[in-house]
Amino acid sequence: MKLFRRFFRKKAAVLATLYLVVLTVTAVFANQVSPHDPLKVYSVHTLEAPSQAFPLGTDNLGRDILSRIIYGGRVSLRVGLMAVLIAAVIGSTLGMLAGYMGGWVDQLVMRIVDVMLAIPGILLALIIIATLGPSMNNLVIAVGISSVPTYARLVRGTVLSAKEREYVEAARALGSSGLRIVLRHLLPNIFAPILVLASLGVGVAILSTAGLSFIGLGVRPPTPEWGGMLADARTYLRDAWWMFTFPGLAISGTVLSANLLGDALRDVLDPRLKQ
Amino acid sequence: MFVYVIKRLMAAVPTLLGVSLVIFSMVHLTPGDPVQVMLDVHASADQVARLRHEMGLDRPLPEQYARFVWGAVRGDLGVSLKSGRPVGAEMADRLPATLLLTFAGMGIAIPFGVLLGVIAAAKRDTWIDSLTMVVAILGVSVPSFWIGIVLMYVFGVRLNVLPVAGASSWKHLILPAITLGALASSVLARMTRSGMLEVLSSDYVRTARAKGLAGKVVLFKHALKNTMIPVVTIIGVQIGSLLGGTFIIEQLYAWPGVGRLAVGAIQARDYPMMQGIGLYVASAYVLVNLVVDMVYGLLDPRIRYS
Repeated sequence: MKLFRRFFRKKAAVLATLYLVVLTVTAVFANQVSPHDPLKVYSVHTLEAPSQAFPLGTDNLGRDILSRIIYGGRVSLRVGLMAVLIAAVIGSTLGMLAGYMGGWVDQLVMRIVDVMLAIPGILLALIIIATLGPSMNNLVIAVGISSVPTYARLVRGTVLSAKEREYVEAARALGSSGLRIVLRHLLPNIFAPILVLASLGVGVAILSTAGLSFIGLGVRPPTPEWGGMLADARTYLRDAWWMFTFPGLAISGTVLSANLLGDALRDVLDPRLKQ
Repeated sequence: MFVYVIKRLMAAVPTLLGVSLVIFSMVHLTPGDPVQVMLDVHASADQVARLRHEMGLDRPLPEQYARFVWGAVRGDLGVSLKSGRPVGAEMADRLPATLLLTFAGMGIAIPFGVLLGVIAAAKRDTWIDSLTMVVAILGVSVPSFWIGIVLMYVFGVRLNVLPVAGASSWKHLILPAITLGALASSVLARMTRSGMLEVLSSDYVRTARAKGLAGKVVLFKHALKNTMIPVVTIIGVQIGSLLGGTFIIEQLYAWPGVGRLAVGAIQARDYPMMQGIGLYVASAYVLVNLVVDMVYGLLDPRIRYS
């Protein structure tokens, strides 16, 4: 409860939460709240400036931009959350194995992590997309896998330091099994840093998704996606400022909110991490 | 020092081998036959088989991998499926553009970001400090390609003073360099600020002030120098990733660098090119990290290499 109060004392964090709640609700109830079908082509209304019928204007095919942004939120949220979940689960498992087991397991895991860190995240994601083909699920896998090393490193480091604490030694002396020690004693300790990293990771994942779609290697058209909408807008810079302005604001607002939320969580849960 | 460099280079070998193995296996797991990509759909089974044999694709995978590594060691990365030219030559053609963009972007980001960070720390809790923090969080939240599009719209379309695509004059460099610089400087400003804040509260800074040294001297000579280690690390990371080609920004501005080559290779399933670029990018990373570690020694004489 005290944590909650500390969290909501920050104005930026409250605003960010509000934004994300609105985004989530509109994405979930997109069918009900969006004024138009995001795929419907109004061929007499191409490249129309914002108006009452089309609050954020229409694109080059005459599709409603507001509806496409609302539906695009589904993609960003789904890929962002799923990718982070994959990264956090795989990365933390690897990190815990390496940190707790030590020895050759540690060596092996950390060598794999080194190799992954030597390939920039976006290139790794690109190669995975190239291997699996562009689709929403593969995007989740690509973005998720490429941030596994960060979690593995963080968790390994935390486990290494927690392992030497008295309470772990006590548990071992009492005859707890290795698995029980990891799950009951180590996991709760590393939960806060993982949660903080994950909330900051959502923003990174959403940016990667938009970037990959922007260069044509993410979500396939005609599925509405913010990065893909920006790619379409490029050709019509001269005629339609609304085509690039609103999807860009949607991405920026979402990532900014996720980052502010992550910062606030870090301050509340783990003040030691504060820079 | 020399021994240290040799040791570090040796240590990079397993990493690069690992990278090559990862890239090789991923590329060869790719569904779709590269030979089918090269020949058109009407090619006879006989033609396909012959080309497969010529390219060594009918051999067992471990042998193909060994050939790839052995070739790479001798500087032979194979032939691009798309253009028919050697991969190394294609990359060498694109490298100058990527280098130019990298150094132009960092040339903007380093002075701007570091200065902003120093000022923010010196004027802690004033409007300029808050502004820096806003810039810093916007820098990691706003997609760089959107900043690029907005710049294109303002300077290319509305004001019509700068070209928005290609690389045929120095003017073409301005917008992509600013786009990259904006992102990098926001990260640098944040790192510099937090490092400076830490140093400014230390005893020797108080001593320097107490003996009457001017504020600027203390700030730049005493404090900044001791903040440089994390800052240089971040600069290294940024240069390392920019050298690999900025896939999205190069695509946006039709900048003929390595990043654009990579995206083209992926779209065309040009696997020798993908392998070559992957290996090059990882080597650039390893090398830049080594240089960063050497710079530590210059910044902090207490650091010894052994």
